Amino acid sequence: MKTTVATVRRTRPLHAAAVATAVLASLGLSACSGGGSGDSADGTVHLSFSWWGDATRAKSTEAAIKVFEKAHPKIKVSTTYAQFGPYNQKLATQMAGGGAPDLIQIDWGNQSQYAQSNTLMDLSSGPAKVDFSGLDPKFAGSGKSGDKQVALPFGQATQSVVVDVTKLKSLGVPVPKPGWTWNDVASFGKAVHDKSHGKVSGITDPGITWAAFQSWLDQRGTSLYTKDGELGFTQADLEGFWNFCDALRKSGAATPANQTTTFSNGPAEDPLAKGTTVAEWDYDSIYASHAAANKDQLALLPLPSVNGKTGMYAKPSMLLSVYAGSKHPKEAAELLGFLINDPKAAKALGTSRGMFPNLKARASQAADATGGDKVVSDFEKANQAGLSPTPTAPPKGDGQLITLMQREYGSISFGQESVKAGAKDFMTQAKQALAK
Amino acid sequence: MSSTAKLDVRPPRPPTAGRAPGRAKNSRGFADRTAGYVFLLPWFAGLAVFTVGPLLYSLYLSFTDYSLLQSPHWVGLANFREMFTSDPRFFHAARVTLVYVVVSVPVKLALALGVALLLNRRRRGIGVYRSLFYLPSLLGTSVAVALVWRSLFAQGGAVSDGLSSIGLPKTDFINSTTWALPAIILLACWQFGAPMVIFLAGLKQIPSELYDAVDVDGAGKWGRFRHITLPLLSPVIFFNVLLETINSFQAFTPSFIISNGTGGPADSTLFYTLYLYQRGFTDFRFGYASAMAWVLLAAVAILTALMFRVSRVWVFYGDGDNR
Repeated sequence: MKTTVATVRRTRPLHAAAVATAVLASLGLSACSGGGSGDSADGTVHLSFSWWGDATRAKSTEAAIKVFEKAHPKIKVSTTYAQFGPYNQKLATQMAGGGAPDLIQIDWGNQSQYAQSNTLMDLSSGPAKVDFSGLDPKFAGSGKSGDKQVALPFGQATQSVVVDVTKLKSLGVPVPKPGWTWNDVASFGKAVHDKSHGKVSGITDPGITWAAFQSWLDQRGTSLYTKDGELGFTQADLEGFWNFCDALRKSGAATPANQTTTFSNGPAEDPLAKGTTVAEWDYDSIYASHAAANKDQLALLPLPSVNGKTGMYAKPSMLLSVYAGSKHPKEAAELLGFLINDPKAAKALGTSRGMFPNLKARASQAADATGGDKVVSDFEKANQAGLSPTPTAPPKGDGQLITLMQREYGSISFGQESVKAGAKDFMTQAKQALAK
Repeated sequence: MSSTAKLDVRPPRPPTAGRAPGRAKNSRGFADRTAGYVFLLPWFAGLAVFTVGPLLYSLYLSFTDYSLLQSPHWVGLANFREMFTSDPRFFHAARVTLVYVVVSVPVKLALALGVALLLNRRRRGIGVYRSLFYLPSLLGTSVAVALVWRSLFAQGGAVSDGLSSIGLPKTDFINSTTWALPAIILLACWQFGAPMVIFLAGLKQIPSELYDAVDVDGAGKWGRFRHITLPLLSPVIFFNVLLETINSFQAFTPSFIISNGTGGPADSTLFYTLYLYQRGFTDFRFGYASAMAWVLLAAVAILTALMFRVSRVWVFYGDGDNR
């Protein structure tokens, strides 16, 4: 008896200490910085290069890096990659801790944020000078912040709708034609839903997609942001879009809420890959990944239009920057130049990041493209004429609005909120996010 | 032993031959202590650099608008004010976490105690069973198990298919606002191994004479449990409740992995820590995230103090000074 008591008693201070440590540990929000790049004694330069994407993109990127290393035996490149969301979180931490890789792939939505904190090198002059005269100057301008060229586009993408041709054939629903309208989307979706006896939806609900809303606005003569980086649309605009999507979903034309949320898991796990939908909004630069995740034959369609206007534009699918803290800006710039200009890089990369930046290399790439790359090149060529002008780089906070859109429309589609209430919440929180 | 030794709660000293009395003894003690502290120095250094330092820094950051990329500016109590007045997700996250704690802790501990009672007997191969039941808690906090859990409960996963084979409707648990949180709670309950081992140790400490005594009094199985096991185990139960509660408030990995970092679907698995993480790493508001961490610390500290207070009523230490 006594022994029991004594044992438990004696452990108490110790366990109080354990409790204290456990709680304290939860507060350890310290940022750990990654290691910089080291050099060998023989003069070999070690570069680090990080990017986001999936296994399909990894393969083509590794192939391009191999070609570069062969041409530059004194440079060794180590690469890391992750999914879009985690990648950006990790990069932000690395930037803050001063340990970011030499060459980094950045998202257009984060460009302003990094440029303003002076973490990106100027690529137009100085140690990290890159020759980008082979790019369309307007398109190269998307990587500008003030008068500094802080980034260069690593691929040109356009908004599209990926459709599953095989499944449509088996259901007996014709593939929609370019020039289709939003009403066509509704009737097409309904037809798929009915013919499949409710098992398959016509389209992945676009209501969660920020960029789909961007095109919707452009078709109606407005935009996401004003020139000063404030919201360029009203609550009524957002309600209009969501009301349409809401009706699509309720009629069965668009995917139900629990499937729509898996859209952000990427092409390998989204509703199109699972076969619960036959069409999905996405950038054409993701086509290769969709094709890899899907046994069926896929095709690309332009976005549904209003009075012939699709609101599609040439978007830098991603950009490349040299980290301001890099010890080897010259070599990093060399790799960057290779990745956006060299025809050999174009051949290795294919369309895994959209159309190749250098125009000459792009033309030769398009000429001998096969398979998925051909689908993308043909799609780009067919739609080039009707593109809207590329907007200026989105303001700081854009990344937050992407997730805010998913969250608010998620609540609406799960039936927890009305469209009106969701749109109101969105406007309040979006203004907060942009003000920070 | 002498009468003074009885009152001495410290463990008996090893006999030291020819120890010098008086000052010499003290200086010897001083030397011992110094040596002790010297040996502890690496630990102290680690504590200062990796725990106390960041801790104090995060306290400072909680009063700033630190955005990770730009240096912090003092904003006073603005973060705390925003949290409690104009951040609906803050309260939502607190609610989700509370549900998780209130459901998972009792269920997990009941399971742990139940299995511990079953395993508390002499039998062939009992060690194997104990290890088997303990195994999940070794794996539990890992990312891998959370991933496995996700695919088990997702659409087309083993659980959904299994249930549909016995006639229940196919459910995509992970992407359902109703079932995502219960799936995560189930994962927590499955990892009852650690408290189970502690319960087992506690059960082994209960003297068998007491059971013999109640048997003589004619108590049944329930009586044995109710009048002997439960009271004598109460300090161990308290220990487990406390530890599990504090741990549960800090649960992060399962919701982060299972919801793909979103806390979805529609924020139904938005744990407090996950929201904190989002505020820091996706919204780049480290000042706000730090403030949230301190609010969590304060809440858990108050709760712990309360639990100690209440424990006086129901925890039986059996040494007479129990009130």
